Amino acid sequence: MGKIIKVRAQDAEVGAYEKAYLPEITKGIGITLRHVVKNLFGGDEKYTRTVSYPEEKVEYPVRFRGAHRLTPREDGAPRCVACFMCSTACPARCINIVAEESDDPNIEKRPKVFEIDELKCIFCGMCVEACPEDAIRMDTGEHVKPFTNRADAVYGKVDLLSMLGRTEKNGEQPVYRGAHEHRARQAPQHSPEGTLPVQDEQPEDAH
Amino acid sequence: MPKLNIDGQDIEVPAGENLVLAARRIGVEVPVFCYHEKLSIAANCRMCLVEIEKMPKLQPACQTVATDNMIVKTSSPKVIEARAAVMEFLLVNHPLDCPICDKAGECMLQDNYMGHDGKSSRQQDTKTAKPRLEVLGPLVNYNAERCIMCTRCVRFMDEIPKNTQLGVFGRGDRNVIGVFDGKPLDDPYSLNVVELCPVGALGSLDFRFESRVWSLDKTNSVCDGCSKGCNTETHSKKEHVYRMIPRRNDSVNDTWMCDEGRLSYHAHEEQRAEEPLTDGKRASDATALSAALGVLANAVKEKGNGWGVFISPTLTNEGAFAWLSYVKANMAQAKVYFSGRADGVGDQLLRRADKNPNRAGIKAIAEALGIPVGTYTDGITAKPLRVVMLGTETPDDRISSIVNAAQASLVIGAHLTQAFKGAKVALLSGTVFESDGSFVNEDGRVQRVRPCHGVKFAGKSYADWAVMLSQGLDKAVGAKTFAWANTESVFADLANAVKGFSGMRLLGLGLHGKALGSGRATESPSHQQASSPVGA
Ligand code: SF4
Ligand code: SF4
Ligand code: SF4
Ligand code: SF4
Ligand code: FES
Repeated sequence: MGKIIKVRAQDAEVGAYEKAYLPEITKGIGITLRHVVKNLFGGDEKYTRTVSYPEEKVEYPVRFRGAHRLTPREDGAPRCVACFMCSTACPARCINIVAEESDDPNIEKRPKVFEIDELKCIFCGMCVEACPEDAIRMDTGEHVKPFTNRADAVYGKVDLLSMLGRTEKNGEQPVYRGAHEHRARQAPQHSPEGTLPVQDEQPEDAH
Repeated sequence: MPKLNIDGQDIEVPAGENLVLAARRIGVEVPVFCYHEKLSIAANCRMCLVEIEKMPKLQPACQTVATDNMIVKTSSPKVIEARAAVMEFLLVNHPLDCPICDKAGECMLQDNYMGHDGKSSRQQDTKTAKPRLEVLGPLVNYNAERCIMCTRCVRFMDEIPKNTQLGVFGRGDRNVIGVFDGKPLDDPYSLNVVELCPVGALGSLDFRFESRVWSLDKTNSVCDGCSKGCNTETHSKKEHVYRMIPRRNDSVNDTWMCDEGRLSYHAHEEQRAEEPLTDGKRASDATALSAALGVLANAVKEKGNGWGVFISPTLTNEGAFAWLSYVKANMAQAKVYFSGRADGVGDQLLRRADKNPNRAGIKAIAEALGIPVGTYTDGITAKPLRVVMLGTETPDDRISSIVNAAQASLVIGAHLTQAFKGAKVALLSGTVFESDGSFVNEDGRVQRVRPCHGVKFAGKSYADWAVMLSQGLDKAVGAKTFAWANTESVFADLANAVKGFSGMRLLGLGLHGKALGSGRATESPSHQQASSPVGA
């Protein structure tokens, strides 16, 4: 990496030995050569590693906040209930949601459009923290893919759902925790005569 | 006038006032759910409990009338504990599905929980499950789990439209609000129960899942749906209006509004004219403008002889004043007629049969300028051959066919009506959501309409008065020109010229407007909290 270090003149004590140039330069080249030899023929002592990206990838640290994903329900639909908490919390205002009525009356609300503009995103993780449904996570361990077109940087619902978290990638069963787990119970059906609900059985699986 | 002491402060209040209102006078807000200033008192939620000296138990402030020598404590330890207990009971079976509840953000249950409870739930049993999506009528849905049984909605239907369509059914934790067999909630004022509901139990099907309430920009304006001129708060986001809700004005609409008016914002976006037309075809701005100037130059040359001017009572006072001044100065012999929206259904409460917001204002202006304005039926018999039409709405096809058959016609308006499409030249003006200005309602109240935050003039349109100046229409050959910089300056000239308006300023109209002729009269009483949410 070309790193420029500026040294103030009075800090460097340049004596006759340094001014002679050759001894110092030889010393420098010597250090470089030592590392080259060690890494070429050093066997176990090799310490630099070249990775043939993208065929080969370095795994990011576990706490790395990479590309977002939407977590799925068992049937593959997003867990997201389009509550807009993430887009409200987002300091970059890069989450665009349009809500719609869900087919399932026990879910009620779901996102029709869910887009994150990864170009605007600052990867702060506020959205993940705000979500009451554990529906958005930054656990893919992947960075946002390069793109040549601004529109490609906007990840839609399908893109976001298609990504897997580390748990899934490791073949483990993910555990999600969300408010709607409390709504697993069924809403009572309407009675045909009017609007009075039939309520004789209490659901058992509610919390 | 009873004198009492609330939280250590002595005050004197009008006889018969309850403790909630009395406390508000000294800036103390007693939390409430079931109490609403415009409805009868049910005192069933017990959120407003206060301690009164010499009374053995806590008393509901909403139902207790202030009397002499009362010593009231609104935040003693006993009261604070009681409020938290009330909140806990209300939340026992509450589903807490705020993430998918459209009320979240303006919910009194959320507010009162944050203000007066703040504890986590001790509930370990199963919460009662109730119907979550009961469609009560064409516009209102009901979620029984969220309902706190305050009966505000039931009392509203009984007392305001006096149309008992809602009732409480069942007992205990199984009670629900419902409609009667075969009779949906279809009253023309049904949507009022949605804001009235302190929680998210009653929802508007029109607004369902459209937006979270905190992301909407709010503009204080006036409904242009009829000549009543209900005060509104228009909620918009990114160029679109999402809903209109009533704003309190005791001189006009109390805290109510009709469903038709609330939904009128849809019509403003539909059928919007986006480009000027000549002979019904899209024209560039320059072409349309020079055609319009040509039409006006002829009108000026003929001094309006043989010309008809149709003015719609949907124009603002400023638009009407600007154009009528133009007519007076340049086309004095033209005949002026009202066009505008056709009459509709009216009732005793708010809705008026005249669906135009500003007939009273335009009449006052025309009278002051000495221009007789006929009704449109006179126009039909007189059959003007050359027409200037301000505002695109017509009561029926007869005016449109006059415009379409005219030798020369200039139409200025916002919507693609038959008259607009059939005109020789049609230019764009904005709608009530885009324009600044004022209306006079049928009771002679001058009220300000404000452009909604973020809602821009569609296409190349201007406020109705500004079409003339910004586009340079007053510069038609031989015409007297005008010089107004902004809506306030038009209004200032209007106030000088028209007697009823004298002494008024557009910016001085305030939130509640002023009655014609009241000049610099004081604003409405200050304890009226116009900008507070209606539910409060
Ligand atoms: S990581 Fe931060 S900036 Fe990016 S979408 Fe989430 S909240 Fe917005
Ligand atoms: S916070 Fe979670 S549930 Fe709410 S909209 Fe965002 S992703 Fe969906
Ligand atoms: S629906 Fe709303 S207004 Fe009606 S009783 Fe229930 S909480 Fe009160
Ligand atoms: S009564 Fe008239 S002014 Fe009031 S909301 Fe309805 S249409 Fe609008
Ligand atoms: S009991 Fe007073 S507000 Fe409900």
